[in-house]
Amino acid sequence: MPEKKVSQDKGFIGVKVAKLPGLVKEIGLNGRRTVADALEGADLDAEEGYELRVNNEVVGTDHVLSDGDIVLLVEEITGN
Amino acid sequence: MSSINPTRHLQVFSPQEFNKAGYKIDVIGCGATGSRLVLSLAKLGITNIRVWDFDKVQAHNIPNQAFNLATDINRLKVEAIRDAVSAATGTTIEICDTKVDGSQELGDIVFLLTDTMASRRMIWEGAIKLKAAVRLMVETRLGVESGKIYTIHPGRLSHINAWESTLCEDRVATPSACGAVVSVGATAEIISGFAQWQLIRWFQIQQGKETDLANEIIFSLRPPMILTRNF
Repeated sequence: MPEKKVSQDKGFIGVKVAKLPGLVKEIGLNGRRTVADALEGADLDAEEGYELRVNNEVVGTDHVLSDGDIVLLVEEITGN
Repeated sequence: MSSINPTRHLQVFSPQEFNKAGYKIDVIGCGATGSRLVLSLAKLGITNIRVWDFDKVQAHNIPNQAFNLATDINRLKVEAIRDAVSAATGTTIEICDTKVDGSQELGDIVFLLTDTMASRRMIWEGAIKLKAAVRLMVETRLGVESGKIYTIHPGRLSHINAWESTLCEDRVATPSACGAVVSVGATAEIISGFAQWQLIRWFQIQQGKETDLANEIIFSLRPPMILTRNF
């Protein structure tokens, strides 16, 4: 899915933010709409060791979210 | 010794047809995932299996790997799993106690189950990527409460590019809190099961019975969640 860097409107949207494994939070964003905003709202960071995705597609923190999107921090793992 | 009776799963997977097709399976890595998988593949009725690992069974392997405390400590893992498979199924598998470095010629189906990204890259580049003999690669990654299963055709460019983009550096992967490797057998059970099912699905596709195979499966156990992608 291509990066969406469109102009933002100021409406309210609801998104889910998940850290896998770990937690899932539902948060509301009013005006601010990037992945970075959503992570901040969920008290999470795009930390090293986790891959950032939206709706299961790899994105950057400046990706603009839509209502109902799911932001995922997926743990990098290497064992077997 | 008689061979196993596959009646209960015959409608899903026919070992006779699979073995008759001459597919050769290489399992690289006989740890928490690999040891379970080898035993499961043999219980499916698959006979042409070769397992690679150079480690010996240690006491801390017993809780999360398919080895026995009474008989296997300090034995080569490949010898222990060969004997376990023989006892459980009557099948004799081929074993190699050497490190796979990419110079080896591998079979039709490769399960890449090593425990570092560096070893995955080395084996992939040397022995799997664009190798005509390898028709399917299943590569797994085991976390404590999560797992990843990749299933790709090593000759298909879209698969190659997508899978290579998932490779991280070993230093990036999340370390455990105490610095030791944490491995839970229950998670390995799930990954091994998915890997086995990916082979079953792939064979069903070869038979024209199935059309779709997820190239990436990611699961989390806390909270329970499964993500899939097609490359």
